[in-house]
Amino acid sequence: MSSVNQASAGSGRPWISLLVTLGIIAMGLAWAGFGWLQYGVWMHNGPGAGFFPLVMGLGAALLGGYELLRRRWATDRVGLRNLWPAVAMGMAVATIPLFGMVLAMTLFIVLWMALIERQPWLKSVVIGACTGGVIYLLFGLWLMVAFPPGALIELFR
Amino acid sequence: MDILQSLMLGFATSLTFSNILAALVGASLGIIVGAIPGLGSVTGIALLLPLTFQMDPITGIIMLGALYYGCMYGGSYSAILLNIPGDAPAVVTSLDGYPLSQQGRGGKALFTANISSFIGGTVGIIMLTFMGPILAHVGLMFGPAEVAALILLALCSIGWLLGDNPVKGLISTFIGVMLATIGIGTAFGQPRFTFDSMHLLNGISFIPLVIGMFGLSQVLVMMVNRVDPAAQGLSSRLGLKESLLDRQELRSILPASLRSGVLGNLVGILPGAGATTGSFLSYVLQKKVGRNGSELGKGRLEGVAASEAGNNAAAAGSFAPLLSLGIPGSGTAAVLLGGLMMWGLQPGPLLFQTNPDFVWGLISSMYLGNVMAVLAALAIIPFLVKLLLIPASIMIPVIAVVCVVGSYSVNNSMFDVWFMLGAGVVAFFMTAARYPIAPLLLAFVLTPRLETSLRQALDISRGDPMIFLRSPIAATLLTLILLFVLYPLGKKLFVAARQRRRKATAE
Repeated sequence: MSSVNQASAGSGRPWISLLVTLGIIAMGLAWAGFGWLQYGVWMHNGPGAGFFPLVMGLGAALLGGYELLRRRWATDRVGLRNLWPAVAMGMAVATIPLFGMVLAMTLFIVLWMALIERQPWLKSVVIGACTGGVIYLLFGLWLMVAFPPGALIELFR
Repeated sequence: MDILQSLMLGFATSLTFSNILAALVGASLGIIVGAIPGLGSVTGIALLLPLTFQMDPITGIIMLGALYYGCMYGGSYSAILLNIPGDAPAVVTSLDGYPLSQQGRGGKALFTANISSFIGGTVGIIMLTFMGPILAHVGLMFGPAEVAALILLALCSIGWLLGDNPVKGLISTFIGVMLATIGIGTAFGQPRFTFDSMHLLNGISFIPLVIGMFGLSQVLVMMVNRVDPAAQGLSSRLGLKESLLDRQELRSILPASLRSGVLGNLVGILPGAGATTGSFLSYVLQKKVGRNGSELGKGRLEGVAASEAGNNAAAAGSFAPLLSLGIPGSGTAAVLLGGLMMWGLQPGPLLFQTNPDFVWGLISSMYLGNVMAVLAALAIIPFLVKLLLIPASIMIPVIAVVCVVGSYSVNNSMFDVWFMLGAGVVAFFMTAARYPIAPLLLAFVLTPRLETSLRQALDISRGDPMIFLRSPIAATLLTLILLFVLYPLGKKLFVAARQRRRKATAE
């Protein structure tokens, strides 16, 4: 976290700060609204299910509003490139029902290293296979985590 | 004298070759399990419990106790090296641990974590040995009103103490509380904010949330802000010799560890307060009374020491109500209680009379487990720090995969994986907009207990809020909360008034 602050403090994209603050205000108002109207704020001599959502939602919305009024939009320098890993991970996770957890994650490492990081294919395959192997041994065999096997693997069984 | 004799009897029982071996195996396994994001001491003990049924009960409990301690040590490793806290208390460790790693002092941070864990754990076990039954009764003095006030104190101090901007810290705290209200709360039995999704009925799982908000968002940051270990000369700064603490550093972490050991132990005995509260309040205390308190959060060894000592001491503290009263003080203690009952032992006031061999064997085994855990932990530091030398081109995909597998393995749920991805992206933008993430996670952990305790307290008093003022403990804690909230305001007003006076005098 702090690396962002240290490495790229200073100018940034003010719209990120504005958008995040607006999102917080919207979330706070939604929580307060549901708490007040739907869950009940005070019942049976004590706080109801809506008490905390109302109080905390209002608190977040009010403080978010205060932040808006202060107009301090300093953000860290970030760009779309930062989101590449999340997009690639999303695509890899989407293939888990097909390839299964271990194979999908192995393929993710190999492809990421070879295509995005421009590493040699052999190195990428070795690191991907080793990581996949450790995950299988540690989680699959020792800790007996029931990984999704994947439709493709099931076909060959 | 009686206690010392009993303890010696315990050591005579526990110090056999097979028991020492069991402690070493348990500690090593615990360090591995604790270091894996997504697994904690509860999982570790639950996995090992069936294996120990074949063993002699004392050997079995020694192994489990050592595993528990090992997990406490291991939880800090991924927090310090990768900014992925292995468990909830390690969130606090990462505040100073990860910045230390970025400064090339990861080895020193790991050493500090281990040494202070050992000191905190030892303080906790000594307090348990000599004051176990008394501590358990102190714990019982904390009813719902007192626990609610204590957690409220922790919550109020979170936002003010973390981050450069207290307003944004408070907003993050509020978001943490709001997220914790999702699902069917134990206090009300009513689904909230589930949006008709069965995945949200049990609420949000903490581990996918923490992995996404710390681990994945870190991967997204690394994508652009890459640290080249070779260019930074990290390899020359990450040897064993460079990881050792010098005398001045040891002197700086010792008071923090001792203070946090005592506080963490006292918090640990409170039912439900747990190691997270212990570790966080120890950090708060260090920030308030320790030297260089204002520097905490920027990469100080004292911050790592306070958090880790508090966390391990709380783990020892949770055994006091378990052994003396048969009430587990934490989730892990609850699993251990199940194990004790399967061995035919009934923890409670009579256990000290009916099975002294076992009880004192267990207490002495905690000393043994703590020593074994610190030895195993110190032995692997030279290998662990080499992780910091791996270039970002390998770290990014490998950490990403650890994030996916870790979040899946908690509940074997793909929903958790998708949730982790979303949480990571949200946390990335929040961090970019300078909203701190740690207050959000700590508030998320503490809120369910606060909500339940508040509801229970008002149920007991039939809605009379004076219950919080009638109890001296709760009233004291509420006064502290007021001071916490009013102090920064008062300080600001005082400074402004002084400046006005100076201006007037100058004119």
